[in-house]
Amino acid sequence: MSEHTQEIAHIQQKGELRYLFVKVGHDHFGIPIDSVKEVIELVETTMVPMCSDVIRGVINVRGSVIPVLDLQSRLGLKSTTPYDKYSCIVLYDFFDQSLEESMTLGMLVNSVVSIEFIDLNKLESSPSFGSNIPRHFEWKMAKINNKLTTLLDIEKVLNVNEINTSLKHEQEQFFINYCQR
Amino acid sequence: MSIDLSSAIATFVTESKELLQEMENGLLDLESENSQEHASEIINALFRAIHTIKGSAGIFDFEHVVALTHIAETLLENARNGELQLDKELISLYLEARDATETLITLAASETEPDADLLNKVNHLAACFAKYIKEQNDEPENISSTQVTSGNKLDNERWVLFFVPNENVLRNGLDPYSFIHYLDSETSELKVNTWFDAMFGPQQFDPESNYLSFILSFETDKSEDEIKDVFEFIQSEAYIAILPPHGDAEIVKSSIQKYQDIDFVTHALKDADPTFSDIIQLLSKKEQPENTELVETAAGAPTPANTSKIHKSKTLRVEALKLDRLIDQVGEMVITGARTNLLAHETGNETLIEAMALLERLVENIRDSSLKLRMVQIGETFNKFKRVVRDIADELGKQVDLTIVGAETELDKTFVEKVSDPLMHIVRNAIDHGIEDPETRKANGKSELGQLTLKAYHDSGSIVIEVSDDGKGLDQERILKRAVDRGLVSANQTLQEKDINLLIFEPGFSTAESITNISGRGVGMDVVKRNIDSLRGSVEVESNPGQGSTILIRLPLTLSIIDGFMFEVHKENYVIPLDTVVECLELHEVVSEQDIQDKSYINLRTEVLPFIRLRTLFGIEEQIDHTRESLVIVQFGTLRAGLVVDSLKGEFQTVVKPLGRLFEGLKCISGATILGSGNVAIILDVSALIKSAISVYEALEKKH
Repeated sequence: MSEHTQEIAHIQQKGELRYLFVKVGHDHFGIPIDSVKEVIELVETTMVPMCSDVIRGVINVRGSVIPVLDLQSRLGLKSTTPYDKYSCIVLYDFFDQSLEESMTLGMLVNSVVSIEFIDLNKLESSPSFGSNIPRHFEWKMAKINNKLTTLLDIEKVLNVNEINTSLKHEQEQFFINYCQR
Repeated sequence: MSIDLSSAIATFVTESKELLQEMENGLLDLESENSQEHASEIINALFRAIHTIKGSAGIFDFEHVVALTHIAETLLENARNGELQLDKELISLYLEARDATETLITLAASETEPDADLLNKVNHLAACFAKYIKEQNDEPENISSTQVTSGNKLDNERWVLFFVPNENVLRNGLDPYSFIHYLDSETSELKVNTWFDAMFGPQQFDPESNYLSFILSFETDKSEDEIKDVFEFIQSEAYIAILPPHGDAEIVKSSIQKYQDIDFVTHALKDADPTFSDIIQLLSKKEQPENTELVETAAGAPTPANTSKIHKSKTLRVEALKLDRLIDQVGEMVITGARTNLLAHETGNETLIEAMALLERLVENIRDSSLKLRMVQIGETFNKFKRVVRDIADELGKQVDLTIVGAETELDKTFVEKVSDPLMHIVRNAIDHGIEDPETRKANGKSELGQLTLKAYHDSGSIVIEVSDDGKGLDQERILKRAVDRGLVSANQTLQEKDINLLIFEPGFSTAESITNISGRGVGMDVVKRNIDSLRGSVEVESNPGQGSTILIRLPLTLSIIDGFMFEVHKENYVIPLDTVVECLELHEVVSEQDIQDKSYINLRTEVLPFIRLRTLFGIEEQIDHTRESLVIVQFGTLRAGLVVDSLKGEFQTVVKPLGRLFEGLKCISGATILGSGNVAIILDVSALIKSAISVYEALEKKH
């Protein structure tokens, strides 16, 4: 663990960060790689009933049940691209400060593109408007192969409390729909 | 001595706490006990408890504990002899002493000195005890002094004690060393002579047997009885004879026969007291012939009478963590077993399938027994309330009698821990708000003695804990008014009776005009609701004005592994607890398609049964043929309803896997499970599902 933090410190000293770039819809997005546990192929997911599209379902990863978020839906992309044989689930390990527990979530992406070093000094701020995803999900823009790519603010994207609240609301809505029918 | 005592101290602390708890129960029983025989039994038990604590505390040099328990024990000795009646006042004193001892032990174990307050209290308690003892003490002294018998006196200056533990003492959990050690702390200049030659005897050495016998000598100013008390616990398991200074020769004579080696005895006695010369003559003259004879028989069959006495211990302490790990592993085994079974079926090999079926049954048994390991009786928790009820009732000047029913009902250890707190709140509330003071009760034509009942039983796959009182019941008008004042409900809302009752569980809700020490702050009851909810249980309140109220807590049986019933909806598998399923039917057999086109209930054997079509609830547009649909009838408590599903998959053992924080608070989904195929199935909370549907229906109706 200390080795790991040392490595991060080292990288930060050099002003570089490693990012995993994934394709969600038609766009590329960057995810900080140090918390990515593994990338697995898209397996069949089990639908969780009465949940919004944000939850793709749950999967079995070596005996534990892990929720998978549909990143297209979570980022609120208007036009959705169907998932195919290149689609992957990125398993992301993180420690939730407010809950003081670590958890693993899966993020379903259309494909994994590359791993790049990002020069921290050459980042640009995200556009004040005009982006295709909500602004609070964007952290910075980085230039990869002369193309501006969004680096995601992963803490906001995987805000468990927020998703949980919306899920509860969603479930209520399912019941109302059912009973009103 | 540099032995690490920490683990021994930890054991001592847990043991003492248990003993103290026993003591408390005993004291409280004593208060209501009329039969003399039972009372003396209880006093004996109390005495043993105090004595054990004192003895063990002595081993660890916990002076404060020893001091307090010693004086408490001394007084109890009088009660045991029937010279002192334990009245209510004295029982209170003992209860206080119990509490103080517990605090002292905890402090001592953590190596902190007790503070001045506590010491004052202890001293006060000791003084109280001493007062009683003084009143009592004159007579027994006389008795013991007159007891000195005339006879063949010896010339020994020091005390001599013959101590021959049986072969089985170690097996029975008694360590002779601890008694000697304790004797050492009670007396001065202890000398120990140990005879251990039996260890090298002809028969095979058994490490669990005791081969040692001792001759101890010491100086003390204590009475013979007090010395005897040191060995009280080992009395039935050992030969003990005490020879006071200038004691009776008969004692030596009869004691020597217990030892197998005369030379040793002579040597030991010489060593014990150099001035002791009578003994030599005594041994060389008369005892010699008699002894050789005895040695033979003793060597031939060492303690034959006692071999059958080995009793098996009834309980075994196991670390909770180990147990959890075992249950986890059994859970994994269940999953893998199911998967292997599936594979076996695929091969079509009959012998293999049969063997697998056998294996699966065994695994099932293991699962059941390992789950039972976690089950504990609720009685222990209930018993704690005896004290609580007594104390609160005293404080409020009320008379309350606690009845416990179903103490043997077993439930998961986790539940026992978590249910104790809510129960405490409910009991406090019942006494404070429910049960009236004696005058009011008399005026209302009730007996002055209020009745409070704690009851536990199993009911259709869940455990029910009931707390009922015969007090004044809930004042629904006041509750409603209060709720409107607080803005919990709007004034024009009409609520059903049971809903009004449930308002008492809202946070910050209290109808008490004044806040007392015991209740009224309105924090208690919402804790109850929250804790019970977190255990996937539910709370109901029944109340009859003037006749009392009952609070029902319903808890599921276990947390981790359940017998599930699996069905399919839109190609996904779902599991519900098997014990909620009443029956399964083909939907088209009980009702035609036209009959349920626009309504969601059927007429099943002249009973109206509302149902939920899961396909529609889950928002799946696609319809399937009516003839293919199945109906699962579920029951939860008094609620009965149907679930319309695509197809039935049957019984299935499931290990409940948590779904994590992301899905927390989603009422209808209680977890997930991994199937034999490796796929995940969602476990539905049927009761929440139906309740949610009902509440939404009700809410919609009000709007119209």
